[in-house]
Amino acid sequence: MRSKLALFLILPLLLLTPGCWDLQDVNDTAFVLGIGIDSPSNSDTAKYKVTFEFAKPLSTRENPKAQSLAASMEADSILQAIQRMQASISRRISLSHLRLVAIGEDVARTENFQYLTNYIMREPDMALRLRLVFVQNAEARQFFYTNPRFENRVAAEMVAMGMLQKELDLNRTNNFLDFIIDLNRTKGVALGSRVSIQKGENVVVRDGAAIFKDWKLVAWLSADEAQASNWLLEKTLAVVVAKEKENTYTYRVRKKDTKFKPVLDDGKPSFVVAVSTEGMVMEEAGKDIDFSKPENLKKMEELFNQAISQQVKSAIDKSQKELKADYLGFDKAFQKYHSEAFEFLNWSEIYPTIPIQVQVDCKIKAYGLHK
Amino acid sequence: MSKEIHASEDRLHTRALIPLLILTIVEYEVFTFSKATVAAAKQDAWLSILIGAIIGSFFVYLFIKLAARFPNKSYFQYLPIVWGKPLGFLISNLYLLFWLALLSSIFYETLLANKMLFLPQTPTIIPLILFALSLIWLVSYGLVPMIRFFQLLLPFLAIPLLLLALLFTTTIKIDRFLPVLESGLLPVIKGSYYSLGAFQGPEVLLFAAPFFLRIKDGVKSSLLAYNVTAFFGWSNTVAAIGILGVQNINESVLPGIDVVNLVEFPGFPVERFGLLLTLPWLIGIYATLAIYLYLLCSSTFYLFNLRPRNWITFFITAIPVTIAYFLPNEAWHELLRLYLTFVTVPIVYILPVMTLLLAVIRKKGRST
Repeated sequence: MRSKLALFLILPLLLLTPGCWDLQDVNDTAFVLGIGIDSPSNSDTAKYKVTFEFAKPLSTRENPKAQSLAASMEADSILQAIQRMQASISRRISLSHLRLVAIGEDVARTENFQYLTNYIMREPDMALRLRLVFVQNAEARQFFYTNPRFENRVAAEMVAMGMLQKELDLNRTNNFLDFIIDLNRTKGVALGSRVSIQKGENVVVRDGAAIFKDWKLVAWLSADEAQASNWLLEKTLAVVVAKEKENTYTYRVRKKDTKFKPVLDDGKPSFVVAVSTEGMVMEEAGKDIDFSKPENLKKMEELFNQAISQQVKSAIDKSQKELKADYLGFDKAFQKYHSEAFEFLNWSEIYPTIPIQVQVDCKIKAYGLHK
Repeated sequence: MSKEIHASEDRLHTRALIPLLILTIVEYEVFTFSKATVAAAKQDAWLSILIGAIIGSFFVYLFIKLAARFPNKSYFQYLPIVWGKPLGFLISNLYLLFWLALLSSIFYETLLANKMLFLPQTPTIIPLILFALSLIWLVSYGLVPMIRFFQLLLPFLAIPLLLLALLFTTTIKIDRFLPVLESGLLPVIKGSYYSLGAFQGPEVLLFAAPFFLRIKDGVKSSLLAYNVTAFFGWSNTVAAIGILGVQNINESVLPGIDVVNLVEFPGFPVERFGLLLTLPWLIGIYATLAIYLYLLCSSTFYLFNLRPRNWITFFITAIPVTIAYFLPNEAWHELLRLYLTFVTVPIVYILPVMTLLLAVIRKKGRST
């Protein structure tokens, strides 16, 4: 009898199981796929202009494609912008599917990155697996109004590009969290992903890199400069073009290994950077060389050694002499071998003067299907 | 419940120690691992956990030896025999306080996870009360049915966690573990202490021993169970360091959840694997709460000579629930967790070993 009574008392609890408070109907939700952050049009009234790219599913009868909707709001904080945006749309904003954060050049140059993204790090609704891009010479808002070439939404195009471009050496491919980890480690120095908008076609090109120093954007790297930096930073496989007089040869790297060898001599650090590659000659224009002769291959290897060495040296020079910021990760390599000495060094101060020697060992293993 | 302390008719095979130990030890801190370990040992925390697991295994072996000296008695029944009545009573009360604090902490974590992740709009008291009511119902059946229930739950906890351990390997970055032993061995040893402190639960062996047929044969099962939980803790810590990085772990409130949401599997660019954690989390928390609530209630009945009554169980359950509900904020809870981690080693590990030593010296119990 008692158990029946208990069952009778427990049964009404079933009414609570649908969870009225947390009911989330997809049809009543506005999923944000991308967020863009820019400087406001009037800095007296707001601190940021936040652009949202919402998924806008249409019925299959209307249009088989699902499209997106972009809208901007100005506010003093990101959360306030979300709140204000909520006042202008009929569905509850959800950040659970946010995949992309785009930062406009203007705000990236003036605002500390830590403050810009503080909300993103705190919001439990969001997964931190975000793509982060910095928009050169434009607002992040404009970026969300570009025409994606293959996907239906800009955010989806960027996510797909991010997956593919891990193998492309013309850009920096780190995601949001990796960028934050680099910034924290170096107290404000890091290399992020660059995007630019091709004006005529209004499409996005993702190449090059954005350089951060003291938590703010200070310079851009072009695609070629990013490729040069990637010899030291990424595992991406390069395509190297070497020129000798009128002749041009193209080498596709199939295997790459870069080693930083830090040396501490009488308290003074120096480095040897050893790059070794294996790959194939895939294109030649000009004087026809018979690659089946080992001595010719040896000459070619020398040529590519010089080309790669020049690229690596130019990347180091840019970082040491021009920008005076260690975004290439020499600090990490030094700390790995000399952690005690590292604690007593003012790295940002000594980095521009550290002697760095470059050694390249390029091997040509094949030359495609033609001699 | 007090009747079951003397129970001998419905005894379990020592294999049942595996679900009992795994489900008791696995709770919030094993999922999200001990942040104190990472704070102390930084990128070498994985090494701390391995050292902690070796030391912990030795303790678990000694627990079985202690339980085997008093095969028909629970820990609180032979504490007065070994330590004398006044000291035995004092030590028992120390355990009650420890469990009360631990239950409060776990109830708070349940509340926090609901508030932030699962049911953010629902008033926090509703899921808390529902959780507590279902726990009282389970606890009222006693330890043996609880362990049988755990046997059924174990695969639902272990399989998603093993799957996650595999998924982690796709995203971990090795350079985040470098340099190894950056500040020497001392922080690693300190981390081992915290790691051991994060593994509350092995003491349940000492209370459950009378319900097992031949507890002295339980060494293999107990060590297996303990090391499986150590592996879960280790793989989660390795994943967190390799994916999230030490600084982000120290700044994150729920690093375990962040890590799972950061896992990226080739070909699945937008999937959130955090959902894989929901079921093991619920099972782990529920089972740990159930065991500790059982220990708290049955021990209170035994120590204070009370007749087991449902209203007393309700009252005892209400204490940690109330503490959890009225805990002012997360900062207070983090402090409570840190203290708990710190006192776990002396209470959970050292005291039983001292009891064993004293029992051997004073020739109490069966020699094994």
